Amino acid sequence: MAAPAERIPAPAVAEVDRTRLESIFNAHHVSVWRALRRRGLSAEAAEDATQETFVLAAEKLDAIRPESERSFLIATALRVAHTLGRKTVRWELDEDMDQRLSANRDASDKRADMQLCDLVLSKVDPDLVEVFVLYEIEGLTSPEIAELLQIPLGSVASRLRRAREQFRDAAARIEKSLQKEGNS
Amino acid sequence: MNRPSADQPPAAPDRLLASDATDFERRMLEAALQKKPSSAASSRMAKALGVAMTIGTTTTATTVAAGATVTKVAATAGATAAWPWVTVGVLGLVVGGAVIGTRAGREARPPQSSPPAVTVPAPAPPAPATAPAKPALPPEPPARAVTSSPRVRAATATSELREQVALLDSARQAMSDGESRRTLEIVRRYLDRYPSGTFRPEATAIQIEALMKVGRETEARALAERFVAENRGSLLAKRVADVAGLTAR
Repeated sequence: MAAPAERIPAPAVAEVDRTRLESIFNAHHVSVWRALRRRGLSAEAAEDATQETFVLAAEKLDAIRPESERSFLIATALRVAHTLGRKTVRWELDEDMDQRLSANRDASDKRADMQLCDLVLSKVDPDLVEVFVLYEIEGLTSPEIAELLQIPLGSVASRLRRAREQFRDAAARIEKSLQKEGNS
Repeated sequence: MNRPSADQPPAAPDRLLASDATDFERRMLEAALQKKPSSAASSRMAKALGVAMTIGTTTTATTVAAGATVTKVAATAGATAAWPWVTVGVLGLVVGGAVIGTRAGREARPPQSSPPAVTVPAPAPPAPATAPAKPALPPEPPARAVTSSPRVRAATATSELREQVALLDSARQAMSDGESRRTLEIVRRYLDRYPSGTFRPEATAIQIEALMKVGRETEARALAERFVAENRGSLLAKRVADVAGLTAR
């Protein structure tokens, strides 16, 4: 029996859930910005791209599951970065930076630690560091990273393992170097 | 991201911070989490998005006043009786539309080398309670001009969608106002500008209804037949078939 197509049920008109947008902005905009900075965007460009990311999120709020908000946002941010034609870049720190870092440490430990962290991460292979950062720092799960980077789960595990080795090696070397400078 | 499952695989290793990181490694990882945009940058982003921002947990919560975006969104939602489903999927884009405007405003300001750490702008003036009954034809999209600046090139990916939505909303509004000829003019502009536009089916559906209303029924039915054939089974195809007096299959 053919049903007449007399009335098309309109989807419920959902009010834009500003409260949720606000909530996810406050919870995740720092992570999003950080992810964009790690993609090599300047602070200013990262700010714009962060806005774009949340604009895109606002369009799809209903489709974003609460437990996937952060991974959705970071995935979106990386796509936004991709559309900007930016590539993942290594932190451009040179040997001079080591000197400055050692000088900075006493004056401002927190800031020096951030720079040290950049230095350590710069020693990790660029192909691996992203998985490391997403897992160890941003707290994404392996399946989330696999989907985000469009790589098999096994590749996430292997990249993470290798990234950890490189991170720990680099951290140990830099720590040793700092200790040596402290003793001299 | 629409993943079928958020389950973590059993083999996922413990995170370094939660397991055997050395003190130095721990310091590095914790330092990485300290990297964040400045308070001023966060405030600007929140304002552009029209959301309130809570700054920090150790200081008094600071709210950045949202602009008139909410009112605009609400007004738009209320004006979609004729073609509700057209707007439902893209309503959020209207929010995005405000971003361009806000950002353009930011671009226009003289650069501030050192903005205050936490800037709380004065609350935006209250927006009109009702949307204009008859919006003007959408102006030439501001985003086009804005994108010439590299500073806002990040907007390019979505600015075109916003322009599309603005045109489509105008067409729907014109249709709601009973201005079929104006509707046709807007739809034609959309179809000319976006021959492969995301909302081309919606635009065509509106066009068919407008054509019927101005008495160009033969043209409307021809378009409708083609539309139904190309979009068989879709809600829009059924709607179009209904409007044009065809039988949807």
